[in-house]
Amino acid sequence: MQEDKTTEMTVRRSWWKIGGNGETNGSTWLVRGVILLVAIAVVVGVFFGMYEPSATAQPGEVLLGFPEDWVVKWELIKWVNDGLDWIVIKGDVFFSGIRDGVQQYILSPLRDFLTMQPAKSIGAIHFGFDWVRACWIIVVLLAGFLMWYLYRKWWVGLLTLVALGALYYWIPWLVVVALVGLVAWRVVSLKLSIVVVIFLIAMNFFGMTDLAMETLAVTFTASLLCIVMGVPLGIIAATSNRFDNFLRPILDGMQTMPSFVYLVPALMLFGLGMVPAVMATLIYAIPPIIRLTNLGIRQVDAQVVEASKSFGSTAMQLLVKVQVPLALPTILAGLNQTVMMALAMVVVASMIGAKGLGVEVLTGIGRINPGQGLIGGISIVFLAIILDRISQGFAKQPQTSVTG
Amino acid sequence: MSEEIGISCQDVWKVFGPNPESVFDLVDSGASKQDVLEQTGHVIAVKEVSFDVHENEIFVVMGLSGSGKSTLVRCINRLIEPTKGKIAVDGMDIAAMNDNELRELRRHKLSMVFQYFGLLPHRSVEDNVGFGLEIRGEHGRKKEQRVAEAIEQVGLKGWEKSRISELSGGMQQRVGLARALAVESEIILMDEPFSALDPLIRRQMQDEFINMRSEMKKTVVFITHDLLEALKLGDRVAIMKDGEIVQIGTPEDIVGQPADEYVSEFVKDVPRGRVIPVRSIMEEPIVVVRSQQDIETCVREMGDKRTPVAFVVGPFNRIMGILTMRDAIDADRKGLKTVGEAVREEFASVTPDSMLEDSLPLVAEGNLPVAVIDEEKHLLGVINRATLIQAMQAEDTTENNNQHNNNHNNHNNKKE
Repeated sequence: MQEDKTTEMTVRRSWWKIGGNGETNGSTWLVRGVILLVAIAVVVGVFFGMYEPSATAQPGEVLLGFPEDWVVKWELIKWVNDGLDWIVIKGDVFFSGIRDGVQQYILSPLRDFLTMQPAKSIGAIHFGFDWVRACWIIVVLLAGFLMWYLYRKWWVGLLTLVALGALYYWIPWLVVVALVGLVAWRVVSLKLSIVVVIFLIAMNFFGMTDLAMETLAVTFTASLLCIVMGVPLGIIAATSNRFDNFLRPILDGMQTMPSFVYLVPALMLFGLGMVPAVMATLIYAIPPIIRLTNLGIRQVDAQVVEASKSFGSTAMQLLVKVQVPLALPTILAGLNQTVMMALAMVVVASMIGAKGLGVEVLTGIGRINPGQGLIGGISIVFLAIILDRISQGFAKQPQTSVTG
Repeated sequence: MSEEIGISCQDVWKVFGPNPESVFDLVDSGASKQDVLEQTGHVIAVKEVSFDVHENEIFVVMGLSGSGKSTLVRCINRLIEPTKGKIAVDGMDIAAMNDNELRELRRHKLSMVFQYFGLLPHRSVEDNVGFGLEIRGEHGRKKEQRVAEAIEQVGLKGWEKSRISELSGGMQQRVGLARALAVESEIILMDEPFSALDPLIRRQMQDEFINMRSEMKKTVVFITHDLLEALKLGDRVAIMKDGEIVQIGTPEDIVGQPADEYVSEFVKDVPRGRVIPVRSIMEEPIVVVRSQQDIETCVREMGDKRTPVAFVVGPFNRIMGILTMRDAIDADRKGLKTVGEAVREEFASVTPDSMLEDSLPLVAEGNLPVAVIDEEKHLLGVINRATLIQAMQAEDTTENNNQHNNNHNNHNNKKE
């Protein structure tokens, strides 16, 4: 027994020196090596087993150039397409469910709200549950809370509630401009507020406001889904190195892949319209919020975490009371990036039927009408600046204002 | 009560590395910490440490950086899992606890204060202080009351709503301390709580900590790299070196009888006058007379024993005053009869627990020995100038040699 232990230790010791990593056990390296070799063997075996080089390839030919016969490009393409077809057919229920859900419960109400549909459709009959009204109520409550928070006076909040409630049936465009301007002023500065108001009025002159709101609806929907999925993923990645290592190359891939590539599969899975645009945008825009959530939580001062544990906090208490609040500025910086990437992608996604400013640019190009393209482009820039500065302003707010 | 054991550590080990258990055989076969590190890459942070902390005691663990003291204190509340050994808190074996029990232990029995405070920067002072209570699900008036009390205890009243970033380092550590006090745990673990503070603030905090401690009963495990702080605050002090405890004892023991070279090297720098109590150097008074005795005999006795002063005791052996040779002769000439009539009631005296340094001015001022008396005014002994100087001399003779050493230590402290 004693002898056994000693030999075992000698083996570990030598592996240890190769590994050199404080946490890695010697035997893990052995296991990893074996797994890697087996994986390589399987891949090579499958490759040569299924696509045996034909007799025409002479042994010496390999040295001159890669034999034409070995190229499997078209086979691979067919594989992928067949696979996608299979998914489209088999997963129809699943994907159309997602499509309908996103369309009905997030996208349409948001768009209706942003394009001031409630005001335009007074008396219109809504069938089923009135999502527009539900959204309005939530927005009104949130705005009331925000005003109360900013001014610390209960009557300011109440006044906002009443005023916005009344606006449900009548939103003059001037009020929208004024509201956005007010938010920009309170969150960032008076200077930005003036710029924002000018931009919004200019967009009205361009006749682009409704298109901009369509774009915004897709952007916000995608960003919302990014938060819902990205923040939890980032938190898991922060707590598990293994998951982080697994996730990182995938995120790299998602960010590096040309964004056009997502469009066609999204189209096939979700059909024409806004939802595939939202989905393509989601894939393109989610990496920053995952990465920065992960980073933010990992950067939380170790002694604060230790202190929290020493008072007997559970993992959930630690997360909610310490890690997320302290990581919030970083997470919000990630959100800012995500929103900006989403906006960029929404423009591209107009190619698969996302309405909005992108369509304007696309038509401008298609009709060789540079003026139309430029005005659409400028409107996108205005929208981007407004979104970026205000969301950055939120990220830079002192931490207390966010956690209350 | 004070003899009950609050925390008991037996044969505690902490080894960092991929396979911690594997080093025990090596160590058994005589390998040193350095050997183990070179051969296996394992770091032995805490090695075979055993000690008991009594209830309501301040137990100080002192060691330089890398001596394993911070690891050791984290083993007590299992922020770091000990590799081997038994740690009992109030008789409960903490190594055997599951997650739930451990959490309950941390919530109610143990609290901790950290070197860099570990406060939540996004919360106000009162929300930080209430953190421990919040974690264990308390709320409402009871919580607010506890928080207010704790804030008052550390002297931060009026700062409740302030943000942490608005406070100075010393005040931030007060918040850390209040947070630990608010949960009313029996045991407080303090990991170098004052090390990150400026020297002046540090001394002030130490004094306040001593005051605060005398008002409430807490068992404290206090970690520090500052020997003077250890000797000042500790009821008992454990000196750690390379993960092992080299000596445990009262401050007096540590300075008076260092266990080995390492400790004596350390205590060479210590001003002995601040650590050694008067009790340990006091001597029998040479002449003690009762107040009814006549002056002539007294003068003769002083003359015989060649001492310039007699100590006069009254009923129940309580001291009444002193009678110097000169006073006695004067009184004799004036025709006074008994010692009681001539006694001088103003005289220099110290308590047995006061430090040598405190008695130094008294001894230096008059030419007479200083009386050591207890609370009931019993004469316990006297301090003579010669003995005092001798007792403090160990410091004086070595001071010059240690000047360089001292600077070096200071430098180290700053780096940490």
